[in-house]
Amino acid sequence: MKKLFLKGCLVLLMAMVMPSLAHAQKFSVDEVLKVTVRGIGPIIKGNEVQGYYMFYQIDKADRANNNYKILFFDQNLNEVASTKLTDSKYLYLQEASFDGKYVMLKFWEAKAKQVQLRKYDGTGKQVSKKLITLANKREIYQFYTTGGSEEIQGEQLFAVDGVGFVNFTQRKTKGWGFQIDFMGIDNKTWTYNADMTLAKFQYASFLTASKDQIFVLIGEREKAMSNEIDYLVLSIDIATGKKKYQTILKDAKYEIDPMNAYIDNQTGDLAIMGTYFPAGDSRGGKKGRSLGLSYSRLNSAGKVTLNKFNSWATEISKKVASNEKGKIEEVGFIWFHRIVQTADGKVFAIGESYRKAADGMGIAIAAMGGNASLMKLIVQDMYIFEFDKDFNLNAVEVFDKTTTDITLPQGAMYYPAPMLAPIIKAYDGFDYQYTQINPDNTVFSTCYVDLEKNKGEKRQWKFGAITYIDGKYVTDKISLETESTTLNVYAAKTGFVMISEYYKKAKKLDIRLEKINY
Amino acid sequence: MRFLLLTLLFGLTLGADAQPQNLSENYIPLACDTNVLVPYLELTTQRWESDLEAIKSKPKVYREDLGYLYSYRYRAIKSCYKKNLFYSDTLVVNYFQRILNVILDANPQLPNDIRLTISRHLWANASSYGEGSIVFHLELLRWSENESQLAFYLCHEIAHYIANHGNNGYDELVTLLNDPEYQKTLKELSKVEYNMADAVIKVLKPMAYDDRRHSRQHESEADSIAITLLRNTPYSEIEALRALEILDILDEEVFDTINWPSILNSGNYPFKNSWIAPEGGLASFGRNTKVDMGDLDKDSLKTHPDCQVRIALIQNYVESGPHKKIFVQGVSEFETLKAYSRFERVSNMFFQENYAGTIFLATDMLTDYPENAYLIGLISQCWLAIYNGIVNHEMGKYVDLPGSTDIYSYNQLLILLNRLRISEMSKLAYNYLLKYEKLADNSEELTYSLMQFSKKEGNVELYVQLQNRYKRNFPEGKYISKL
Repeated sequence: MKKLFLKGCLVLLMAMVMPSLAHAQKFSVDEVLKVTVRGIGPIIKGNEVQGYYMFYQIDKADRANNNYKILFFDQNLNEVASTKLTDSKYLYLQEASFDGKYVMLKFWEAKAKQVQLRKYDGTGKQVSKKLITLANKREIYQFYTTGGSEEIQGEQLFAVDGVGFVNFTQRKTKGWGFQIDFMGIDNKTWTYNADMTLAKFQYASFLTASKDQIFVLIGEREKAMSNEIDYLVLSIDIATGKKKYQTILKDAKYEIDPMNAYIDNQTGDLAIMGTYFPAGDSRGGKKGRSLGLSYSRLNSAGKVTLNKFNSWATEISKKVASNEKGKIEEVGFIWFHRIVQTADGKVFAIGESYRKAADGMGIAIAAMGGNASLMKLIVQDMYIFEFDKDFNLNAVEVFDKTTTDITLPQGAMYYPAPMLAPIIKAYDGFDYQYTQINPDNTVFSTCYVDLEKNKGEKRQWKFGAITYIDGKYVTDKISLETESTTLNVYAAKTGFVMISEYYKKAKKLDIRLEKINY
Repeated sequence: MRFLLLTLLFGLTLGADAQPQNLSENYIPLACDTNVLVPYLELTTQRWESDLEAIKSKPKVYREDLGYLYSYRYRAIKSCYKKNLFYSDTLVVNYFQRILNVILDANPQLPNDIRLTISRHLWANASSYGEGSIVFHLELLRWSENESQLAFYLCHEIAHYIANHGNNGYDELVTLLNDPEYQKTLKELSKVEYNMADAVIKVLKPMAYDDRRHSRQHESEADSIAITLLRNTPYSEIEALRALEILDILDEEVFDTINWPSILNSGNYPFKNSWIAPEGGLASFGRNTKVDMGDLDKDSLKTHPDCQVRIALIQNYVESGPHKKIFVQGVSEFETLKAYSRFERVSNMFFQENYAGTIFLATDMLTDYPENAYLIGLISQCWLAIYNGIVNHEMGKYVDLPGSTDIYSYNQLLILLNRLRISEMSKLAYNYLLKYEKLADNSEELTYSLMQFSKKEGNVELYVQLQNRYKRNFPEGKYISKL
């Protein structure tokens, strides 16, 4: 276990030289210097945690600026580099990525409304800096709300292994457009801008990347509140920064709502998985009910070579009881968090079940004339759907966990259940945390937290892991009970979870890795 | 007091056989029984109480501050007793006490309240607590080459005590902390609005340098006094120079490469090289070996002068003479204890619950003692403890993370232990320990651990067989109630 005292090495050194005595009246060196941790988080490459950063404020430099220090740790929590920084007091470290050579840190400077992309080498030396200024409050709002994925892969900043970094920014046009900035490992840079003259509402997100292409998913609406969404896949040539192709994901009979993509390790094609809806409807549409799970395959030219659908009513119902509305009998609905492909070509869709139920407390409050929702959402078990390489459903596994109640905002009770999943996400109501895959794609672990209640025991927070290995699932639980003031769980290298515990009284931060059993 | 200490020593029990042990077959660790050492602790307690009594006449703030420091020191020593960190075994205690007695007898001016304890700490060192307690880490014996060098280390610590370096340091610290100017400076510092860290460094740097300069002076002074004390004894003063040279190389221990794939490989469960493949990620970023000192000069912060400087300061004073001896007690006792100290290092690593470290050191020693049942017993216990640690999510308590060491083979072991799946670990440990099954009759630890792993691997026949062997060979064994 690493023990990081917030006052830093310097203060420890000083305290060692001049130990303070325990008298309230006296000033001690410890009390003179107050060091504040401003952020701690993983440094990501692909789906893997490569290390961690710790960003802390040493002191004020002047009225407008602070002195900061950044520590870089490897995936085993060994400090590998550090650097100092004097910058605005409104500076926040948002996320970090590693491209195999450099670490890119993404800062947000709230006063200047600037995104700062700072690239560091292995010695902690800053080698480049790029500023992206957001134009208005709407862009800032988008900056805060875009991404938000619980997955390991990043939010708006992504590393392409051995190639460089890409950063996504939403731009306000007549509708909405986007800007993609690439910063190569060889210092080559380019910016790809959507057609800003269009009045369409386009929202871009990172799908996946190969050594020479970046695949972007674009959700496109004609109007801001339109229920009709087209999904397009944009391929950008990394060498030139130019569009290679842009393909709409559509089927004659269905609308496709993509969730995840990967480069198929068998064919090299781009495989996109998601849910599908009747033509003219989509997630967020009038009915909001998916018909099942979809699989689309695009060749190197961007041509859709296969659209395949597994319906709740037919294929999936053979493996698990369900009806045509996507409602799993006795359970409710399933929200899919992640789709992964293992080295043997199998595909796994990882989901969590939820359902609507009457809220006794809300009903009681309403009966007394109060304002409360009469319905609540219940989040329940984890589901893993296994498909073969041709997207035929092999099996469905259910993993029990304790139910979590989420009180709905007033009025939400009238939404169809499938439309409520984004609300659960917004309320951080799903227990699912992330899925990690080992580098050779043979093992993946789906991680979640659970407030477990065992008979005769008080409720305990547990970190749960479902690991798929050698064709079987292995489950494990780690207790998160602690005497610390706060406890946070972070993604870690494959087979581990990182836990940080902050002790307010001792002003001490402990960070440690816990091994997941499988 | 000298008489009292010797009387106390007669109360010690023999934990190891008085006859030298046959290390090629087995090893019985030296005894560490705190109960036997209670009289030592009582003397330490009496000294602490008298120290507190002695400062009663001082002004309140000084009394409180000094009292705090004296109590802090006392608790530190007491915790060593509580944690069973001191040897009680007569073999080692008497050996060192006899060296101390030679020094004391030759220097009758020395105080009679020196309390020497030999500790299980894993780093080679000796220390004087400033109130008569001198702690010699047995690990320093492993590095030493003769008895005269041990005598020099003891004289050096006695010198710190008689020069009152520890208590003088406390007095100076308390005086500084209560100095109105210092308090004023700190108060002003607390009001500094910008670049406070630089301001703090600016104020404290000279103080820190001054403190460390004093510390280095104390070390040189202790060396000089130690030579004076040594001169009155039959011990060789020349060996003081070599003793200081040894201190210079303590951190540079070189280990032979351990071929884990070969050692852990078995026909039934072949070793996979992927288990020890280097990790990527930021581990490939390089290592930050520099401690961030800010604007501080590293050399000015050293507590000890460089050993070469210390050697230069005393080499003109050391004398050789015909009456001087390198060994007073005989070479064989020293060599026996030195050989034991290698085993004690492994034993103490296990005692500290560093099970990966224990496997590493014990495996390294198996090269010299390939049939030693104690070593393989410790290794078997560690595999079982790590396995159980994984099950209970406590492995981090017993196994360091990769990258935390510069020792190549140890780091490989850490990568392996951190990477193995629990089922792989069970199979690997089981098949590895099977190779040593023939030693099971000499090691209850090996018998029990192998029994547990054979059960996990479904070898019921072997499990039952080992269980019967355990009952037959170790009827009083510590695991008998678990069978």
